[in-house]
Amino acid sequence: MERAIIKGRRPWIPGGKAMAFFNGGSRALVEILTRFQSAERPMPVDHTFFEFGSVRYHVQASASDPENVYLLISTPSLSHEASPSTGLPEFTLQEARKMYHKFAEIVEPSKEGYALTLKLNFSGLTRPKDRAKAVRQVSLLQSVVLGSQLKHLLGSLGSSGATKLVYNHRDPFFVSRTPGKIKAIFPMRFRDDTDIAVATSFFQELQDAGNSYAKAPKCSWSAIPPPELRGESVQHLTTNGGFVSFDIFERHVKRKRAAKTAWILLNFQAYVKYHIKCTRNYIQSRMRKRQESLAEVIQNARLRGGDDKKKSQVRKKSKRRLFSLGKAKKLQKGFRAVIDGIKRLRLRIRVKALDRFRRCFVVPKLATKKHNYLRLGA
Amino acid sequence: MANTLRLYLTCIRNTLEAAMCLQNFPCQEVERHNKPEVELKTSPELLLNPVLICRNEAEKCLVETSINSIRISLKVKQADELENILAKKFLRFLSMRAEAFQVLRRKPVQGYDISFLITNYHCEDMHKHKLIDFIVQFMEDIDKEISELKLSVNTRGRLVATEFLKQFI
Amino acid sequence: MGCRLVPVIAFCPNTTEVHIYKFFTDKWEKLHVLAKHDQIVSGIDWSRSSNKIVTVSHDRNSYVWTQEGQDWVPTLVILKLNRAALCVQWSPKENKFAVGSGAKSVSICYYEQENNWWISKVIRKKHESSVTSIAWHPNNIHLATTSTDGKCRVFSTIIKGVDTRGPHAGASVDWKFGELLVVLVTFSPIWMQQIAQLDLSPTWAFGVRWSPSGKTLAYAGHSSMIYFVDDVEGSPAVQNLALRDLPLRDILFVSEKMAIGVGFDCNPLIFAADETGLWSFVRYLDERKVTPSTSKASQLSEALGKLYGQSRQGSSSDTVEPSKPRGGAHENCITCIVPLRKGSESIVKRFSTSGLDGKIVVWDLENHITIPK
Repeated sequence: MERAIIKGRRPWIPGGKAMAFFNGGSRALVEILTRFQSAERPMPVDHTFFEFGSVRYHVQASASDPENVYLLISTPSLSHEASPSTGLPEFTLQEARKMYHKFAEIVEPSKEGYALTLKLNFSGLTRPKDRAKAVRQVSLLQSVVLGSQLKHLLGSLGSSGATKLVYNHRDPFFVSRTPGKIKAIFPMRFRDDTDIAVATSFFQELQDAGNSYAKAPKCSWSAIPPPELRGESVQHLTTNGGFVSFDIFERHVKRKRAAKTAWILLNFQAYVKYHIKCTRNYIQSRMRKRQESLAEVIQNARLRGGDDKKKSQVRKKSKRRLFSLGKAKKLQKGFRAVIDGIKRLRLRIRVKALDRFRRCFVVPKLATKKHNYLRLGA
Repeated sequence: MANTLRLYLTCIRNTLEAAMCLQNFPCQEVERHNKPEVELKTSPELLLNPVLICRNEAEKCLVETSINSIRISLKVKQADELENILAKKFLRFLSMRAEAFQVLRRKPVQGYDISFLITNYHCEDMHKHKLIDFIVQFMEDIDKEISELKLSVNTRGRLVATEFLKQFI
Repeated sequence: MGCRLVPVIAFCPNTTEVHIYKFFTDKWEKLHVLAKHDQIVSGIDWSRSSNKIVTVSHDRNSYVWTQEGQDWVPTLVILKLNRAALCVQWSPKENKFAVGSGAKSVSICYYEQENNWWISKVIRKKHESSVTSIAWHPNNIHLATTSTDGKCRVFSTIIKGVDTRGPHAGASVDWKFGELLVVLVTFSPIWMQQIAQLDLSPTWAFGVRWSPSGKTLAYAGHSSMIYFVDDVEGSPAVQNLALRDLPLRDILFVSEKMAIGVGFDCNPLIFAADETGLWSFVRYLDERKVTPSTSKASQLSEALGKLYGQSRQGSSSDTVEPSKPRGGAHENCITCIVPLRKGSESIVKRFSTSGLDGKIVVWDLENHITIPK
């Protein structure tokens, strides 16, 4: 998902392809495992990488033992109460075992610094289709690990006070349980005014849209901390974007739905940030377009505006042609610079000549307008 | 509302038409210098009385004229926080690209959102009526762009919010 | 910038150079480029009988160019100025020339035969701001100046050894050099009527000229005013004429009773005086074309619309219609108007105007307007 954000230049269509990244699969993991499997000769693999800022993966395989791939993962401890630092809670391990029993086993105890070590062995899967499916499943590992924890949490919350959850270490959020419902509260912090303004508009729309989606959890947004957070440290209660809270009822966490709801909530903050980023890009591109159209107006105001227009048209044309050539970027740049240089040189000469031409003297033929003139005095 | 904008812009256009009578004028105070007097303000007799055109409290236009230069400063309407942010962002974006506009001042005059500095050289180089058209269109476009941006930010917010909530179903 | 003598013409293309063009049967050809100044040339004057060109520039220098064979040879004139020179004019007898400057002073220059050198005498501390325009009285003594302090002044410029007191040089009064004769103060409301704060501020004055006889003096104020002053030396009688449009930059007396004003309107204006000496605006010289499609009815409705502060399209669109380009010969401010005289006739029939649009236009009045004498 992080990668998707970085690539977020293209306009984001809500619900479109980009949304798939919120499903929890790690694309990097898919890529590494697929490449490893499709390699003709076995080769050693040793990768460490981060996702979501705080999820760390380590993929390891040696050339001598190509069948076994070790996948290590370290996730942030969602809550101090829910998972002691020693390792993952039993229900999480169970869930992982259940999901991956066909081709993986959990190595215990896990390697130092990682919460979970999986030994993957795809040799049992002969069909490529099965292998691809297995890789996809493996890529969901972190959502399994974290989702199961939150799911458990939602099911087993004590009725007293709020629990702080740290998924992304910069933005913790809170879950509190009152009889009949669970409340997820997100303190929202943003980088600058623009982010706040965009997010504020989004939260308002979220609140309004909630009314027409009765099945979805009710959402509310306020600038002041909700009463559930009374007693939390000031550090967590200072925000510049207010607090968004979701009222989650029994029906949202029933059986199968629980994992999904947990995952959506875990990613809410990332979702908002992604929206902001895309909107900022959108604003930027609109501003650039407007700037260009305004710059054209002032260009046309020049006494020699006509020539400049021709010049810019020529340049545009050459750009398009070069793009279609699809050459290497560097080559293209150099080439274009040379072409433009030549063009500019030529045009400058032409403009100068025109200039001189313009300075010729205009002697209006007044004789033709004779009848227009008044007779004065006499 | 639309009508008052038209009147406001017409008033600015007429003012600029009268004020943009500039000429090459060397500095009287510093030898071999030729700088916009409206910026230097060294000789009070070379400055004319500034004209302030207000549409309302939030939207106004200050026209300061001197013998060889004219400075036009605008305050753009900002009805709410989002408009305020968008206006600030947009105008800063344009100021940073002032070289594309030639007559745009890099820094607005204090108390205003954006300023133009037009010198006699610009008037020699450009058609006066087109230059005035540019200023007026600039004002119109900024107004339009900000309200359109605001609208589309809200629309996008609504679409994204809807998509988010749909996930639960 | 400035121009002289058809079919030979000298002008500055808004640079440091002065170009001289000559008209050959069907086209203009560049004969000479006078390149000596290192800042923009602000004034050119070509003496008619002695065939000398004087140029002044923002670089504070002045050159007198004399033709030797095919070439123009410059002679530097030390103006004793520490600011830019703004305007220059030969005196009627062409033994002196005056230079107005940004140093709030006027230099009167004359040729000293013994030293083979141009000498300048400076009128200092009389102007409160830059001198924008100067004009010699036909008596070769009086010099009128306008300045950005809004005042028009008339000086006496008698220089011993150069000026002999002739019969028309004011026999009864003994003027000294640099003596200030008259100060005319331009007080007027500020240039925009709309805001009408009526702050009585002086505005800049430009384009001072004497009528051919020297009886009337005219100059323009930046508040779109033109001033005609009769009997300057006795008891001045001033006539103010407010213009409908943009201010003037330069004026030319065609005769005692008619003057042409040029300026930011890009179109020369004709002014005339009636038998009683009352000056009035006549019309634009370069008639603007009225679009034939505009019917009387729509003109009326437009006028009514204007009255109520909205145009015909006002309700349907909130955009302001773009202003239309001017249809005249000039597309930018006219900065200079120069008479084209044949022989010693007192009435100017042809004149040329030059503007910042890079055009020089020659106008012929003879067939079209009867010039009152």
